Amino acid sequence: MLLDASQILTLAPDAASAKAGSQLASARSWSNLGRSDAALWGECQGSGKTPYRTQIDLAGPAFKCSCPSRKFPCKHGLGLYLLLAGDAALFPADAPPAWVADWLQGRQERQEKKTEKAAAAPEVTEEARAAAVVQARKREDKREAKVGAGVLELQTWLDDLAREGLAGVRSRGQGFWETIAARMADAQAAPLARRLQRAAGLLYQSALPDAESMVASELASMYLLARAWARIDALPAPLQADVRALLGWTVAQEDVLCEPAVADRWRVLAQSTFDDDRVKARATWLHGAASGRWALLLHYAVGNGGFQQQIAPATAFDGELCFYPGAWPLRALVKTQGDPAPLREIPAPIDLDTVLDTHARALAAQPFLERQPVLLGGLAPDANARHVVREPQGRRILLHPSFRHWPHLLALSGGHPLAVCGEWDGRTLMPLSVWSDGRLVNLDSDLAT
Amino acid sequence: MTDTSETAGAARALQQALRIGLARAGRGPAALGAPLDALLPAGDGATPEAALWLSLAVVDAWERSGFAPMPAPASVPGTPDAVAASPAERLRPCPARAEALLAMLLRGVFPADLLGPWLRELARHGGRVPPRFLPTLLDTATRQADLRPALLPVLGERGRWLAQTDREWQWAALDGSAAPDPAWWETGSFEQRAAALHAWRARDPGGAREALADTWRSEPPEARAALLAVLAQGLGPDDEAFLETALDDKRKEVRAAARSLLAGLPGSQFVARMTARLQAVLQLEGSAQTGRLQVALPAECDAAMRRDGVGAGAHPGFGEKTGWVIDMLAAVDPCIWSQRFGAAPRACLALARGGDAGNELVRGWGLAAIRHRTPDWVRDFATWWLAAPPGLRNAVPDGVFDVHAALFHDDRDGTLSALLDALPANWLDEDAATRLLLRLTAGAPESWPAAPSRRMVQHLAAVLPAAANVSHVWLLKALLDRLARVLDPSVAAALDAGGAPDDQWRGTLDKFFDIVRFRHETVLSFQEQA
Repeated sequence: MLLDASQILTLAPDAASAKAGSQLASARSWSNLGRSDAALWGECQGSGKTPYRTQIDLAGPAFKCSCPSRKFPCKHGLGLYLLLAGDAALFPADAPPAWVADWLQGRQERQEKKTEKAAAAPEVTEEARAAAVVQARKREDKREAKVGAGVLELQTWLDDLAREGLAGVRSRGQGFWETIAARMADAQAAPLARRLQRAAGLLYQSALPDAESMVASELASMYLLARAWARIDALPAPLQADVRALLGWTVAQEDVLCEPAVADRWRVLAQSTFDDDRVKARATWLHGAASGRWALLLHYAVGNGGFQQQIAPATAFDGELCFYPGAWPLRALVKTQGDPAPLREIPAPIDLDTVLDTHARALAAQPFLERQPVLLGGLAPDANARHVVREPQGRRILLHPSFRHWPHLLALSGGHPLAVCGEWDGRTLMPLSVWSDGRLVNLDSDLAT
Repeated sequence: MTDTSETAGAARALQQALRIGLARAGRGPAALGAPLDALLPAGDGATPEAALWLSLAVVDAWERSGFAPMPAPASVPGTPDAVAASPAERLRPCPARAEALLAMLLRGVFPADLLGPWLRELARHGGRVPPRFLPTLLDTATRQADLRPALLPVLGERGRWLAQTDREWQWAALDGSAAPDPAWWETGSFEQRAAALHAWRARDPGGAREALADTWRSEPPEARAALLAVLAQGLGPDDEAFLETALDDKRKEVRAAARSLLAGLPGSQFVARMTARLQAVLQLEGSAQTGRLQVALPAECDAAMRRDGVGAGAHPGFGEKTGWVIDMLAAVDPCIWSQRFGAAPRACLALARGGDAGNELVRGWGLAAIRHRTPDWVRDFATWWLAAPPGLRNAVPDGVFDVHAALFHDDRDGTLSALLDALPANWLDEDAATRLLLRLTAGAPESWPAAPSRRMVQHLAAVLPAAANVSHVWLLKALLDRLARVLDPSVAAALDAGGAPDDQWRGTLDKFFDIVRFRHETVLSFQEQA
């Protein structure tokens, strides 16, 4: 499928690239344009003598350009794709020139090699394998000991905090929290370090009225996690995986891809991008049309680079996902991805009672779950009360305090009920996209703010 | 312990305990009660600290898994439960391609000043702004009030509904078509009174003037000038007596407003007085074709002259008495000179060139042409300018060409095309033509039609290949920037600007074509669905 202009712009690594790419989407910047079923190509005159050769594999989409930019995709790639979206007649159907055909072939070969490699078991001797297993076990034991010591230290710290009281440690400033966070990082329990920093931020920097109770819940959840680690062997295997993930163990992508694949038509219902220092994180929520399952894809981009896998909101594709192990699996990887098509309809929204029941079941299975995706129907924002929405029975729920798009939600609804896709944390809803006038508006990317 | 209010109480007690600390509280956290207490460990590890943290965690999970939404508010009979939802739209939805262009514009891909033209194009199409962009556009127009006239007609029901939900957007909440209430004249704010007077004047000019005359003495001085200006609507001979009294007002602004109105009233005493004074000042020696126009400076400015505004204008670079002459010239419609000398405006301007008083004549006539918006004079000023001596050009007030832009941008009578035809082939050698064109394009409220655009594009194509080296290249760049916004975009897109000798010039041309392309696509995007 071909993406439309606004979907293409979500592929841009940053706002400057989106702008530069849009400016290059004009016929006079390009020569030797052409397209085949699989690809799109053209030459763009830059400041140098030889024009840049830009090509796009439409299946990915994947981009390649001879320009020196380290941004990915670069402005030429975006401009070329936008030009097609604006005026497809500029691209005569043609056999790809050698420089395009070579690249496409190379891509395909690499893809095949990857599959072969995955299929063919590596040839290693029995002894080598045994030695490797022993090595891995040693590393693993060392790490478990390290994390275990860190978790104990955190527990002691929390015990001290409970005796002294939150009010009592307040005067010690954020440094008090930074110290324990650094200790957790040393203990290779990075998620604990992040959560401690976030709690300190809430306490010292936010103006939220209930910041203190949010911090209390967060710390209590970490305490619970510490206790869970102490008796991890007694937990069911899926929950063990959750606890390990929450303490910083990662599962190798190859291992995830060995999990049973779930084939479905996956609808891309919401996507949001977060800046975290120099790393950009992109969270994409998918919903399976037949299975009704939700899946979360997380992608990361460092510096100026773009995201490796491009999945645009308001599209749908046939494909297989593999889920990370866990008691309430949500995070997944794409194993196979068919051609994406524009999203024509959304799943039937559910009512609030079903959301609440599902959340209770989810928490029973995985008590550390922070939030859960929902598609709630018939929600009408209350024009009189900011962040309050009414459901069809007239009951009211609150939106998350950090939701930034209240005026846009009002504008999209006009006070009429509409379907909202978002995250439910047990108390509030964080809207991520809405279904309005027969199409999905992804709040993070489709608003001008 | 299944009651939510009970858990809420327990949660509060636990949070309070955590805040002050167990050491200070002197006791462990309160027990949770059934069934939650069964979840807490007993025996080993059952310290008060562990009990506090685990109780907090358990209550949190309990609350999150048993969340109860706020119940529907009890409805009071006869009062609506909530603000009524927005009514059905009457305007058409915005076409998808046009919406995509707006998204790019709001993303900052194109210069922000193209938003106004985009909104006007939407209004022409009878469309409304897509709801997802309403908050941003309302915010933008709250900051930039000059965008409001373009946004108001395309807000749609949704936009007006949304505007009433935010204090800052109240300006957009009212239906603009509502007529001012006549009662405002008695009781309204100043703006409402002016609006009511304006509407009254349109209905009944005499009645409105009498109403103003009745309250005139008690009007605050700062309001008088503005209220007097309302009389421009439906101005007639009956207004003269009242305006004459306003010439004696204490306030300068009121006197100026009265003079301005009287000058525009054909056959007024004011015009007669000025014409008589000028009769003595301006003398034509010889014929209108070959003669000279002489100016005899008045010896003094008496009280009557001062009352009529002679000496009120500021004319830097001119002497005091010369300034009086300029003020007199500026007051009367310049068409009387064409009649008196039996010569077209351009012949009159040629006469000015012959005499010693060229500068004051050109300035006086220029100001008069601005005030009276006399089409013949404004038109001839522009063609005359192209060949006028540089010294005389400096005496022409810029405003003449703003009036030209306002009167002739649509080229309905071919004036603009004729002016462009008169542009010499070497128009870029001097900066005069560029300055004129810059003025005409800056003042144009809308795009030029295709015919003058085509002529302009031909002129550009002829000179641009060698244009990067002209001495006033910065003026030319400014002109291109304006032309990008004014030329018919489909015509401008066909301009062959030649190669770019350097990166800077290439940047200028790229910018030109970016804007043209955006405008072209905007027009096309609206045609698609029509």
